Amino acid sequence: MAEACRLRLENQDRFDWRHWDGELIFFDGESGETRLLSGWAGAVLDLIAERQPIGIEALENELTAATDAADDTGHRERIREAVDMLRDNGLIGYTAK
Amino acid sequence: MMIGDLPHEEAIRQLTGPGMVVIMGPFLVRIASRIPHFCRQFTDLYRYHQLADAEPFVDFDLRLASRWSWRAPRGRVVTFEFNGDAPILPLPIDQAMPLFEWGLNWCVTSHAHHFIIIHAGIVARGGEAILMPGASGSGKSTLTTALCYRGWRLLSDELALIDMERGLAYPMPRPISLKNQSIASIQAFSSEVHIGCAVSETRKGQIALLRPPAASVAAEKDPARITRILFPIYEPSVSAVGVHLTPGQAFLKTFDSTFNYGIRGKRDFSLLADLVERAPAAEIRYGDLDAALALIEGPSLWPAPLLTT
Repeated sequence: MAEACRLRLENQDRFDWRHWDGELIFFDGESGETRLLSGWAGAVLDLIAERQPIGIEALENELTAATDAADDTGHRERIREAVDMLRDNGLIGYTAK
Repeated sequence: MMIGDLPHEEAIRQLTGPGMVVIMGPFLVRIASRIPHFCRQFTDLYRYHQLADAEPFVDFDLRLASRWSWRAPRGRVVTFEFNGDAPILPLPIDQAMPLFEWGLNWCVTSHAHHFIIIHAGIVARGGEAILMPGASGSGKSTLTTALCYRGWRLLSDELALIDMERGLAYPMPRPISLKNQSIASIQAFSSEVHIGCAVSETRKGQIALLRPPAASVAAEKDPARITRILFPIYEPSVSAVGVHLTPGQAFLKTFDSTFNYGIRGKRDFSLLADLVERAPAAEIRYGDLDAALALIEGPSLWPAPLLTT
């Protein structure tokens, strides 16, 4: 599914967020909750906001190129974990290609 | 005119009669009471505060009254009345002054939602303010007091009022509430402090209320921009040590200390995010006030030195 679909922001009126080095903090206007996510979540969300809709491979490639990170399986795994975390929190979703 | 400029008899006449209307930062507060020791302590602790010129609209209309209680606390008690209601429980009569302060805090935190209100000490110098959020007992009032006697201006030892439009902190300098061992610490730190009320066996232990410095009250209309966030933790075994906090950590710790975050939705989030983005944050553990002040005013705690030091 991930390969066939592309990522985009979900519920844009509901959420607000800020991203600092390795930290993403977001406000959920529906629940009133504020949460902190660490790792790649902030960079992933910023890139999706800028380039949506974007496929997961393009996302991984762009983040790897932009951050001088090693282009290995572990790196891509961490980006996919961040994508899952953002989806679980309702910030992003898939759209048909 | 300042309360201290009023002849004592006139001050008592106003307090025991129609009430005295006092300017407290951005608020006008009318206070009335027939409790003699409260009237004495109030005029002493608030002697530098300005009286409102005319009989205007007031934000908070307050009365402290005395009555007999057969339920706990049993005996002569003081009640705090706001617009005719009694929103908080009565206390023993000797705690009238602390009850007034706690009651007024309740009024502000429950009604002044044009500000984001943070449970924090806040001081300023030259328009640059340090916000010190913290729970009761964290040492924020002690540190706030010490800074006030080293050239900083008191905005508040308890409530930081941040304007939603401009992001500025508005002063509401009032008596500083010290508890337990911090009373002796501050008396040893500065001989200038004036304790206007001391009460034992309150729900928070022993409490002393300090008169706010005259210069701070005189500047109560001057807002300041928060440029540093400091989370104090009193730890007697430590001289003073500090660590930097990331913006995300600072956000969550500040948000934990807010009274009304979220009622304006995303606007509150944006305001706090802007704050932690521009103001470097640190946590300080301290047991020695001189060492703590040296750390705060020195170059090692912050990425850039304070402009005013």
